[in-house]
Amino acid sequence: MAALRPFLLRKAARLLLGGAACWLLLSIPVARAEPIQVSVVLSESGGAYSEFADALRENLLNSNVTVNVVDANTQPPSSSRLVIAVGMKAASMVAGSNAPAVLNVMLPQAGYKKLLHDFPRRENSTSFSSIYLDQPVERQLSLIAAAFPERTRIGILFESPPPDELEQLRQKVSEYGFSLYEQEVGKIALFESLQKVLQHSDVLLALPTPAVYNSSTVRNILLSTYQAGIPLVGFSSSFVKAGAMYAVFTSPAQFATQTAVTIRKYIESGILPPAQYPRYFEVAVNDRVAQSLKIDIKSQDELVRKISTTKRQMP
Amino acid sequence: MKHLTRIESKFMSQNFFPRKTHLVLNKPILTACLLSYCAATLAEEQDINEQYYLQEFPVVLSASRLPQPLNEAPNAMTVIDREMIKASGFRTIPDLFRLVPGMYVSFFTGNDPIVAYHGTTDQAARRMQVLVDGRAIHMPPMEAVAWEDLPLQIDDIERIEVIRGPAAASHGGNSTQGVLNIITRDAGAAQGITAKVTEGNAGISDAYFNIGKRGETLDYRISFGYRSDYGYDSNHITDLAGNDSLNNDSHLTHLFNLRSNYHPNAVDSVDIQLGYSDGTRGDGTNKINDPNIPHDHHNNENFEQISWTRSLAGGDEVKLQYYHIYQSVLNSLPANPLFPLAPLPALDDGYTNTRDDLELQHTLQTSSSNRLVWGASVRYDWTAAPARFLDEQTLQQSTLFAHDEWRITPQWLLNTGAMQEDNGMGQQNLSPRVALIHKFTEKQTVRLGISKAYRNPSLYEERGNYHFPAPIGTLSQSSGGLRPESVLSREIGYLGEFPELGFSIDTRLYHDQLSDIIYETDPPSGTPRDFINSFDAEHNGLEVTTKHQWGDRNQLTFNYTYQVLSSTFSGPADTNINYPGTPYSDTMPRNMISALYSRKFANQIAFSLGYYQQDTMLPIDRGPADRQYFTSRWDMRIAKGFKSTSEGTEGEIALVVQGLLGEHYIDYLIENQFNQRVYLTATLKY
Repeated sequence: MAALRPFLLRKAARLLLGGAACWLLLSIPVARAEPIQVSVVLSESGGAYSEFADALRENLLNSNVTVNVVDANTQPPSSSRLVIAVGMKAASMVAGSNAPAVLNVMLPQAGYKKLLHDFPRRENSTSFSSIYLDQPVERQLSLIAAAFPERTRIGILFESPPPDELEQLRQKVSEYGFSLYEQEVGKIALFESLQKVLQHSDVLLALPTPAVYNSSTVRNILLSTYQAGIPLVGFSSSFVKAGAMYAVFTSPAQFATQTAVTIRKYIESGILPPAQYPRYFEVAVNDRVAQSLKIDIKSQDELVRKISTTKRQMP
Repeated sequence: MKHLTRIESKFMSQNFFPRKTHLVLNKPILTACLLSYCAATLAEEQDINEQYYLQEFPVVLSASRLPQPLNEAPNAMTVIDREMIKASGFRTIPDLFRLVPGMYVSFFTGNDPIVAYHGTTDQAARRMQVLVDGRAIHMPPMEAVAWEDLPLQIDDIERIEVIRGPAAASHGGNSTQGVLNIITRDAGAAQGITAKVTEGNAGISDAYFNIGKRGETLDYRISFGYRSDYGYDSNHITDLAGNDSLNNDSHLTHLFNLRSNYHPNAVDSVDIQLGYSDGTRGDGTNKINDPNIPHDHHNNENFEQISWTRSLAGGDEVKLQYYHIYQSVLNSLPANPLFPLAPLPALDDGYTNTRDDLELQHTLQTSSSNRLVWGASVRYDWTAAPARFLDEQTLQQSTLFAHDEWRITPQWLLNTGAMQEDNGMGQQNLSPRVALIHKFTEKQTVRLGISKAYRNPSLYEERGNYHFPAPIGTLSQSSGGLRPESVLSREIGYLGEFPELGFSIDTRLYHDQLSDIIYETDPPSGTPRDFINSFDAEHNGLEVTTKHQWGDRNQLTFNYTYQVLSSTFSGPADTNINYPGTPYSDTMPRNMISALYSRKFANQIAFSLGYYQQDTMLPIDRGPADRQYFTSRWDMRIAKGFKSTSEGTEGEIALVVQGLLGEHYIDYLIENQFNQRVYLTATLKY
């Protein structure tokens, strides 16, 4: 015991010194610069939007950034150095305002493209960017590879015009050793299309196409895939709760983490990074459906790890 | 960019017909407006924004729709799925229960199957709950199941969950020794047309047609067909007394079953089922002094069932269900002036029963770790059986039930539940159940369970009066005042999965105490029989199910049962009763085995082999001539599938041999001598 004491003292002293140094470092910029105001404009109150705002505040607690949250009907104060627009409604409003720098989060890539189309002056600007809501197709393919090593035929239902994801999928599938069975809905009825896809695939990947997957079609789609013994990979945790087996998605808290990092970088450099997919993600699993289909399930952590480290397999 | 064009064009269509135009009462324009408004609303929904990703979908594959994992069920459970049904080669539903440990399957006649679990087995086995999609089919006045009349073909079944042990809290009244929970195929499960024809020896001739469609808001499947055979074709048996006996037990049953599901929106689903069966049944023997001479009776059954399910937020669910069952048996015997004792007048032993049942059930996820199911039901039974009662009989029963599943930790799961019932005969029973489940690893589980359940006296046991004109007279006259039978069951179960070995095991040890068993007295000749609470019994046993998987396509399910029965007489001292006079312990086989092996070959050839074995036994109400000695039987099925080049058309030819080695044994009665059955089935789907 006696021998330990000097060691503990030394450690405590070191901690104190380190703490003081940090305090000094942190307080210097505070002393020098005015607090930087960042406004967050929410498309709606409550739900995922508030969750995002709360998590962002928490992420920026010990910084010189003050977060000012407003709704999409309120113009953010002109003193804001950076405006974070959360969701499409807020993004449309902010893009049309005089806000000098805007980071659009939690909106789909297609929505961001529409925004640039509607507000051409925002295009090619280093002070206008986005963190998309959707996941890159590589991540979806890695999930399927990790979750169902024996299933190689991916079924896709889409409505014309095909979503951008489909073109990206077409380019990537072979790199992962998969084949794609595509069926366009509209040429034949949805449920006939579905039956066709189910006959020719081992796993159904749901692309975010509202005409195909919506709250009134999801019942039949989930029941049919279940009866055919084919797992469905969805695009949200709610989809998994409804009966899809897996989904890779980014939570509002994870969006907030990435947004906070981007804010800090913007303050340092004055430029926003190019629009990008979310860096952090989770995997939702429906154990009960997997068990019923007699498919061995892997834990969420294991899947996230595998997806993060998957090297593309060349055929 | 193409995508944007679509969004814009749909926005434009919305603006083109402003809502104001709805006021114009010009029909074509109004229709056009409504249509375009709908299209615009749809367009808004289809507009890609984050709401689409963040929206809540209704829970479709809810816990109540999916089969419960065996290692989380509060009772021991055997699941028979479509694959097993097919591999078994069986053509009737009762036969399937041979694949359940501890289950006794036999026949009173070739057209009157008996399915019973854990003994107290007689002609009208009635100590189990039997449900078809939530519809209780043990019917008054005997509370027995008319298996042959059930308007359901084996191909319409999705799976059967057999609960071994009392489960009143979750499955309602009469769940004394177990529950047979038959789940039929979803309305939209079978697309297209299926035709199946079976022909074989012993008069086997079956047909099954099914038409099914899954639609956007309406799914349906309609099946119809017939089932027929000659029953036990060993028509002439000489019994121990040297009497010649004729078995008249052939049958032909026509069946119709419809299930449709209307789901107008994402949260409501209305399930409508109709069924009809109609059949001619051979009955009677030519035994000397038996007034039941060979004749046919005519059975008819139909049911109508409607249930409405509404999905609530977070996977909660409310279900309201109503059904009506109608059964009628026309059983008339012509006058028999040559009857040896005295000329017999024409006899009528027909009956008509109905059941109306209304049930409300609410499933709610009270927290992330707790799920509660509660509900209530009322039931009205009616029977008109002139030979069996002095007047028409009615019975009104009601239940209140709740069942809770609490995940205390990921390793511990506690199931508690109870059902309170008013049996309509002046008694209130409370049937509680508690099961504690411990997953000591992800794949290994121990379950401790204790439960109590009641079987109410049947209308016939309580109020029956089985009488015919002279010279037959009154055969049975119930004095009434019966107490419900009860069972107190304790069990310990272990489930282990060893995926690396392709092996899983499900075992349970049980100790059941049965009280107040209702049994028929055996008074001196000329005095009517009566029903009394006559004895208590104790059942102890072990049940094991193992599943093995090896190679690519080999599967084996193996069931073993060991059971020991004992009983003590508890009725009034002056009663004449057979039991426990003859050893009750002999009424079930001590050891039973059933096994099903199946193998799929690459060229669409499937092979399966079933094995069924039971020790010697003497059914509870039979005389020594009917002893069932040690029996074993091998069944085999070989099938070859075909796929047409045109999409979606496929077929199969299958050969089934029951009693592969020419096994010969007695089923329940000496008249029922099993002979080898061979049949060929051809199926076409398109």
